[in-house]
Amino acid sequence: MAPKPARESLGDLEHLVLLAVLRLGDGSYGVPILEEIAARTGRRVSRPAVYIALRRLQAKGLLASRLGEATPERGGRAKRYFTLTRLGHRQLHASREALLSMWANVAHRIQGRP
Amino acid sequence: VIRPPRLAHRLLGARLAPDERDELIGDLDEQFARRAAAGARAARRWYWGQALALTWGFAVRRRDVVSTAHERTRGRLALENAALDWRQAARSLRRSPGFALVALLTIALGIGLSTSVFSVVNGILLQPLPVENAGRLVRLGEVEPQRGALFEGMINAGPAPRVRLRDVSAGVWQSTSETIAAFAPIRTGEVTVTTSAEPLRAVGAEVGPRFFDVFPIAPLLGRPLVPADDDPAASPVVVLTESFWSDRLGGRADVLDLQLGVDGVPMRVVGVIPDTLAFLEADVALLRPARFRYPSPGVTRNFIMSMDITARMKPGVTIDEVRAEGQRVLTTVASADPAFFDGTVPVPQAIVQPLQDDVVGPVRPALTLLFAGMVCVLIASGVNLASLLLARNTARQQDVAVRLALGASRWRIVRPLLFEQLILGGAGGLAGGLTAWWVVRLLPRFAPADLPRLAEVRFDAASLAFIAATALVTAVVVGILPAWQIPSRNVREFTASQADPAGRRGSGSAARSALVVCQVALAAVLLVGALLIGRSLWNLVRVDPGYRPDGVLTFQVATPDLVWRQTGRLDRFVAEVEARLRRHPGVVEVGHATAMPLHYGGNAGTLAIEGRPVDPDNRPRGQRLGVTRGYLPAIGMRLADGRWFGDADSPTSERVCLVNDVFAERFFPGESPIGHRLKVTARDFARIVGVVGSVRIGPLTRDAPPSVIQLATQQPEILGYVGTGAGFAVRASGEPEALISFVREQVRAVEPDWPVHNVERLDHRLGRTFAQPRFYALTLGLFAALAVSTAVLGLYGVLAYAVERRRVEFGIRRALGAGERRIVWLVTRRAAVLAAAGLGVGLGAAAAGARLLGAVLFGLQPLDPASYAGATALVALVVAAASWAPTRRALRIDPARALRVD
Repeated sequence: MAPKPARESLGDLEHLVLLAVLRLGDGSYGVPILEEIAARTGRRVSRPAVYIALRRLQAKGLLASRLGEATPERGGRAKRYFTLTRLGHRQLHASREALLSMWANVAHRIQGRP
Repeated sequence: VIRPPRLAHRLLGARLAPDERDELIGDLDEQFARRAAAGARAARRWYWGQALALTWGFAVRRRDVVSTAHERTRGRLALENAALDWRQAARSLRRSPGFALVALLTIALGIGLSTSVFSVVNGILLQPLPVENAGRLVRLGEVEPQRGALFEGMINAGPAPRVRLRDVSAGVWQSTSETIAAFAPIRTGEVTVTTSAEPLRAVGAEVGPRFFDVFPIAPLLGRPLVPADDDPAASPVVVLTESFWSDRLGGRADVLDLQLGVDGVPMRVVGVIPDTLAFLEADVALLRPARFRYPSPGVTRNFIMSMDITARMKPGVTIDEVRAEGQRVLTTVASADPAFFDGTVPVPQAIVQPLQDDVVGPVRPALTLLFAGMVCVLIASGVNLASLLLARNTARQQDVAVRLALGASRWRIVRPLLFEQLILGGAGGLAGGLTAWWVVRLLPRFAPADLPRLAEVRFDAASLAFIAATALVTAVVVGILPAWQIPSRNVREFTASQADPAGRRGSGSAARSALVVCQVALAAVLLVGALLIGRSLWNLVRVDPGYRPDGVLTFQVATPDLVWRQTGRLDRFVAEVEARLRRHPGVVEVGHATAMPLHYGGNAGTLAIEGRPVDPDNRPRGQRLGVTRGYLPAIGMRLADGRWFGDADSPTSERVCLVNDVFAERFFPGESPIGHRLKVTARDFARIVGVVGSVRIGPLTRDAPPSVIQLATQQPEILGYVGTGAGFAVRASGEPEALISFVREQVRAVEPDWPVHNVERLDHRLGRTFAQPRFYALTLGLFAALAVSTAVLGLYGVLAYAVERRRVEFGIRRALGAGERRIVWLVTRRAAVLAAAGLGVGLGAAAAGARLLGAVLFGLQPLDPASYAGATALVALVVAAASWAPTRRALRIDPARALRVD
């Protein structure tokens, strides 16, 4: 299936997943991704939702994946490592730009008001 | 290393797609390993949660991501089509409420009745006994070879005529067995239980030391009996059953260590067990160690059979090996008594049979019969449903033809019909299930109480499975039928045949006729069965028991063991009670006997006739009965010849006796026995002074044995033969029940510690022996009535339809001058042909299956011509009833209107 051009904007969870992959770099597979999101956002993430987001991002061509090594604690099962594609980088960059421009000069208005 | 829950693991493996299994399960396992270090239980719980979320959430949502638009549309379409079909099916059922109701009733009745019978048969015959490894339990006994009955002289001291082991054989077998893991002798009898409150009468069991090894029953409270309790030096203990504890002792909490008096012996309660043993001994209230000493072989010729013996086979041992061992034991025992087993008397034959057969064997033929009847009813209701559907589809054919012409596939047309069936099957199954549940719940109220294992009959998972299976099979098999009916010919031809004025039989007519033949056949089978059973019951009711049971009260008095050794105490007691009872104005006559009718236990033995050489092949043997003078008139026996016992027959006068007519015919054929003398003890003779009618002591189905009746006052030691059947009979001038409290008072006045029990009207007791046959007859009668009514409906349907189709033809015939008789014949001919075919098939099937009935019938043969003739006549009546209305309609056809083509 050819990756579709990513014209639609990123969903909330998709955004988080992409950022997690970006942060984790070479070591980004399922477990660290789940934990990174959980640790940084402090919210309970649904396992199926994260995997589905990973699949969807791959289908959109924002992520690429390859099978990695197996470890004994995984019962000899391979990991699937994810990396950002060029498209993924571009999309993250675009969404960051968009968000930052939206945030410009308003951040002080919500300081101290959770 | 702590592993993830295996089941969850397997679930994931099965549900996840192969290309993502490794990744997902690997991630999960990795996290689990870390969590498990903190706490295994919490980690497992977490794993389960995650696994379930993955299998459902992921598998479902993934489809959105991956599936193509095409797949989505197709899926949605299929769903929408199914919904459409459901709606169509529901709508068409709503449009014809009559059809829906009749179909529903048919299914509900068929399923309800068959499930009830199934639950009974399953609970009684099929389910293993409610004991661990019940398949290894066997019942042991011995009989005389060839005769398959008790040896003369063997005394079966039990309440029911079961096959038993002689005590001497039981003793030897128990001490030498290599095939049996444990023996469980048991004997039961009524006992008097005294607590601080008033004394109770209950069934007590005495059991062998290892009884609870054979029947491992976990006690509700305390402990079961253990071998040490059987030691005569140990303090006496007793175990109660749950029902006795809760119903009779009020479920008191301090029951353990409670002191009870059992027949005067103080005993300590050590445990309470659940009522699991009801299949073995009904109503048993308490169990205590028997402390029974088995006689040694050879010391004495011992023919007493005290115990019912159940044994648990060792693992891996076959029943044949046990039987062979038993035969060796019996041979050993016989060889220790060469004086009796002198070569002319055969060594007894060991009987070893599975306990389950022993318990349910007596009702197996009858229940099998009910089951067969149930299958017939089920088929009949299926057939009925099928013919309803055919009729309905015939009416729909125009519609079907049009849809076919528009290009609908056969499947497309059949599908809503199938859905309709599923709705009917589902609703019918539900209604049937409720019916069955209700019938099974009420079963104890109308089923005969002596049906073994009745308490174990439940509406359970097996019943539910049976309902589901029958409902589904009915719906699908019957629902397929309409598919055959869909015309394969092209539409033009089809519509042409619809308009055929000659009224050729439309499609489906042959099928409907076949179904009617089927219905009539099933009705005939069930009618024959019901008539046979009914006539058998009638024969049973008509049996002359040899006495007049109405107006007679019988009761028994429990005497302490060995009281007969106290010379004179028993006969004084009997005389005193009789004298006191006679003083009541409502008492016509009173007497005592060593064995009363319908009470088991009695004494059989050989007799010698004075002046006749002993013929070893035809030794006179018979039942010996000891009575007081009032007994024979009290129960209303008939004198056939000679005289009754009289005032002159005193203890000092010549000993006299009566014989029954069976005895007279067998041993004095063609001559009168009166005046001959019988040898009744080693030294004494008794002169026969009269011949009486036969009294059936046991069940009515068993012929009366040759009997000798002696006068107890002349031979007091005969009272020592008291078996469990001994008791008093009182003939009352009014209602016998009115005497009950008087009887109790008078007995208490003579012997305050001897409890009165089994106080019952003799006619009621007799009536109870009909309970089982009546139950079978009623059930089969109900089945037959159902089958007959479906046959009537089916036949009526076919005829009415035929008349409708042939309106034009009949009109023309009338116009051309055909007489009424001719028209009647045209209509009924078809009914007669169908009924004759069905009757032929049905009577044939009934005759073939009648062997099943042989064991159940009394006084008639399975091929009893009257029953078959009766069934034929009833079917003829059915044909007449079913043809009545259609024939009338055919006669009322107005030629002028019929010929107007619409």
